[in-house]
Amino acid sequence: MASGLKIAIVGGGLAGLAAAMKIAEAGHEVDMISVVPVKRSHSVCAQGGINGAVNTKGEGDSPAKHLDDTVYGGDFLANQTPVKRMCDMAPEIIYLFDRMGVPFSRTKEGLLDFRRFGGTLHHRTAFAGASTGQQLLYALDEQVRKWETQGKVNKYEGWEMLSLILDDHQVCRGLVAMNLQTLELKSFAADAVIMATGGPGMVFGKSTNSQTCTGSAVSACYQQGAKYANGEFIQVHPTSIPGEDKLRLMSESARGEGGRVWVPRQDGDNRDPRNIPDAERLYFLEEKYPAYGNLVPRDIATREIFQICLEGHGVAGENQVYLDLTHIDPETLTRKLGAILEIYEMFVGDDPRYVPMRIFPGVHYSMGGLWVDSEQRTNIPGLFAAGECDYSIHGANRLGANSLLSCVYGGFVAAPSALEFAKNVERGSTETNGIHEAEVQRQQEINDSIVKNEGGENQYKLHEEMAKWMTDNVTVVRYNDRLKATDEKLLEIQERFGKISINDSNLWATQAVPHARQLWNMTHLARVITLGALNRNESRGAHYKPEFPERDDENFMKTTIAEYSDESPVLSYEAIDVSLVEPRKRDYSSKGKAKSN
Amino acid sequence: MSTNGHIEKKRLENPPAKFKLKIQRRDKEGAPIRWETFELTYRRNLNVISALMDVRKDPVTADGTKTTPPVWDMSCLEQVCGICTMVIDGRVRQSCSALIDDLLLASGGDTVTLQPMSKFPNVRDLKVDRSEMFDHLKRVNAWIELDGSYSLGPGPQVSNELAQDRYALSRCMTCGCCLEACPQYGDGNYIGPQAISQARLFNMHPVGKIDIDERLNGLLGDDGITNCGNAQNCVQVCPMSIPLTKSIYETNRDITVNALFGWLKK
Amino acid sequence: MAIKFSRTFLLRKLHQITGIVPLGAFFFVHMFTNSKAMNGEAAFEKAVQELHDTPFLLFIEIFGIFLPLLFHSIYGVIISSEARSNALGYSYARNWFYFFQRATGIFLFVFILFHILNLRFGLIPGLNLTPVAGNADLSFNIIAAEFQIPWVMVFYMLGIAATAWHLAYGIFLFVVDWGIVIGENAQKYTLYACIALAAALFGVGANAAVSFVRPCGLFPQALCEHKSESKPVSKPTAESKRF
Repeated sequence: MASGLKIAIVGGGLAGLAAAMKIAEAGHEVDMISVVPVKRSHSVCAQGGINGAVNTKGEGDSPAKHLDDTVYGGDFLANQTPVKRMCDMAPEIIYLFDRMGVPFSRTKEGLLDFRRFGGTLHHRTAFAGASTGQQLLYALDEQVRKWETQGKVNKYEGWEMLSLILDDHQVCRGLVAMNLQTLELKSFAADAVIMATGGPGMVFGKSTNSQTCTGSAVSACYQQGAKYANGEFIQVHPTSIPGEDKLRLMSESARGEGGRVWVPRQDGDNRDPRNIPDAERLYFLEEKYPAYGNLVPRDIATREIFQICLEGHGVAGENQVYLDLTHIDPETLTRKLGAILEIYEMFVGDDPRYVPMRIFPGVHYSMGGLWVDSEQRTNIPGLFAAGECDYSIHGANRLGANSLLSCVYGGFVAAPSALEFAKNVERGSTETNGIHEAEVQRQQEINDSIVKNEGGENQYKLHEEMAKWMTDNVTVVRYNDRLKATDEKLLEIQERFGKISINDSNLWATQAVPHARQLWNMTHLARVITLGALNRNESRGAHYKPEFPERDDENFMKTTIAEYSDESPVLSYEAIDVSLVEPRKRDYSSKGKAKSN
Repeated sequence: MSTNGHIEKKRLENPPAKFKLKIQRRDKEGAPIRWETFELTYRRNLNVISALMDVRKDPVTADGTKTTPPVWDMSCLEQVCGICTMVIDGRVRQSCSALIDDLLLASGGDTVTLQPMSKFPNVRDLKVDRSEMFDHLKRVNAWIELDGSYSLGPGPQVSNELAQDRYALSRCMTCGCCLEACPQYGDGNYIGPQAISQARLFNMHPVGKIDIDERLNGLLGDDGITNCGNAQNCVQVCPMSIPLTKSIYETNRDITVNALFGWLKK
Repeated sequence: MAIKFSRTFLLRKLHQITGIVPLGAFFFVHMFTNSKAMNGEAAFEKAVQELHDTPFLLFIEIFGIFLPLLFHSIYGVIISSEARSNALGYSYARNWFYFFQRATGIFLFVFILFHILNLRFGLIPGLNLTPVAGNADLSFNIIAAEFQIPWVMVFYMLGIAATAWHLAYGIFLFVVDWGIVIGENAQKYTLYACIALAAALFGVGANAAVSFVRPCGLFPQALCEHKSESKPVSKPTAESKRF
């Protein structure tokens, strides 16, 4: 059958929209389910750019070098074949966005301009101002809107996916979603489903992610049998601005321009930082690393800042240290760092030219996600995944400006792959008879029980408690005893979840019921992340254990795979495809200082 | 204090221990409005969103009455997704970048007032439905027509200056501030600066220009660009500093040249 | 693709044109004529008489003034009724101008109606029952008598001010709405010029009005004396009020 296929896409960020455009263009129909209007998806937050070895600067750059940088940056945990395909496709992806009218920065000749980014020596990153993610998302949003006017794409914005609809043979036949205004449940029958829901930052409470990045839908897939891979690899950005509501990125260039990192020597010293004399300040990076000082590599800075706060030496006992620029002439600062200092001023209220900034490492990106093969197929027939919610590209650590690329690449591969599956799947009614209604019924019962529950637990406080445990113990520095304790805590939280009473008697557009469902799903992902970390006794990429400080290729150059069971995630390990780039030790000191955002 | 003209930002000097959040509530669209006031502990870094999060955790009003948690929209919290827009102390803006400290400093009082945007259907409390803004984008064909998304090489060469001018328009996050502040927008009378500026974004592009007539047609309807009253509030309240009025006037010129006097070329 | 205009689009454009070309132009002529009152009764009445002698007068009055005015004012009231002015909440100069344009428009609707009934037709009982039209020789004195009444003078002053502003700002709106003046700086200077024009128009109009009660208006009388043409002074008498 050549036409009339229907693909459901969950998530309207870069990956979801990329897939939707390809499917509509092929003449098929898309049901797009998104918790927010797709133009407000988290992709808008990506600032830096999109990588592609276009080699316009006469540097001899090539997709092969892009591949090498990516797998090396990922500390040899990514399967190399899909990475190669992505790097090969990258230049044409950038050109396509150029044709869509993305206002990329240009050269004098009017060609695309490229800049250097973290983890590479080449000018490979196309960028549009300081909001490339926003610009790329909007370009796809516009194209998909065109298909929407032609009836090829039906958007369901303000709907949240709750579960997959699986037939007796575990083939995915659609999904159930909830209208976030009416709480109405609806089944979406589909010939294939593509997950493009982004990362799970909300598991850690405050992160650089959007509030919608709960990982809830992915967790639902996992609980229904989808494999979740490399969950323990969570990228943490060394300098973010701690807010009451979230963490916001602070460019590392603040350190590059001479920023000094310190905490008061005396714990709990609550004086205005400007009144603390030099002798009473602990410049811990400068003391510990006299050679590099505040310019130690990113991962070391992250660990040291994290460690000092974990030990209770953070400013005001909280998770924050000072990043001080006040010794530099304000005019110089304005000229060199104006834009980023304004961001700090906008969200914190203090002017960093006069008041030391407070910063802390912030959970930024999940390299892990749904397991997929090189065609973006999950282990559930009919279920595909693309973007941050799949694990396939970044290995143990993601390079800057590769995330936007991997989202689009994932969408572009998942779309034809899903269509190929949909063309061949048996579509008789015998397999699907009644299963949609049954799944809606099952989900309705879960909602009803959430509304009915009375036990005195507060869902938001429970979420905060989980987030604190996860942030303290399962981010930058990991110890096995603390990971074990965290898993026990997560079990306790799951237990207490049964006792939450939602505090909203008005169910119209309530946020309590969706949040409760997200929270439950997050606890499962939290366990996958924690146990994945506990089992991986090595240090690799973003995963660092002081007890096992070295990379252990013999035992752990493998993909962690978590499968759901009623008791605990079942972990197994899968060998990595290293057919293209020979694994070698990751050491940036010989490659020169890597710049990044 | 420096001597280079940059003045350090003012903060509240004697912050109160507590402050009040006065919220306009509505159970659902069409239901009556009521006001509720919540008392919260002041913290220096509090923005409106975190204040609302505090209320949501334990929704008890200042006089001790238990109530339902206020509902509002939020996502990125970095002022790029546009979803958390509301009317704060009488002015429309994003609640993520509205600091309590600044608001109290500006008002001189101890209360911050929150209302939903008034120009859009009010779903509940502070949540509104802005889908008409996306519908407007459909009407003005706010996209570039592609032959296909397969590999066809790079796009047209354009000057960096044009790219930057287009970038400024392309930052529009569909937040609705311009429409809320516009005295002409409402009840379907006027398509508004957001859609006009997006049409302009594509009319400026060398390929987008090909379809300029389609986009102008979308702006020549009964609710079209002529309803602009030149109050210019849009450009004052735009959080992305988009030159919205310039987009409107440039489109006016396109219409005068291509549409009104188009017949002179025939 | 062919471009299609909506009714609203055409009406708006017509509204803008009518404001500038017949009405704005007429206001300039009107103020020019009125200013002749500076030189005294005879000069003014001669000017009125010349106007009366204009060829195709009725045609011009109907198609050049009356119908455009009717359309401009009625459609203007419709436009104003759609406004949701929020100048108190968003107190920017341009937002206030937006409000003033509509406020002056509504005021002028009332004022001009009064003005026409009063002087053109002489239909305001208790004030004036002698139409200036057809009575050029009485025109100066009809007006002079009225302007002795303080509230009439104040009302006319407001009317002139409102017209001056409405027209000058209307010219500004015309050049931006037709895409003639686009850039921020260009608009700023154009706006300054229009504000200056408003002030000048008001000055001319106010001076002309004062001229009916004080020779040479606001200027030193010496400036006008040598130009004054003599005419026997005659106050309007009860006899002259033929209606």
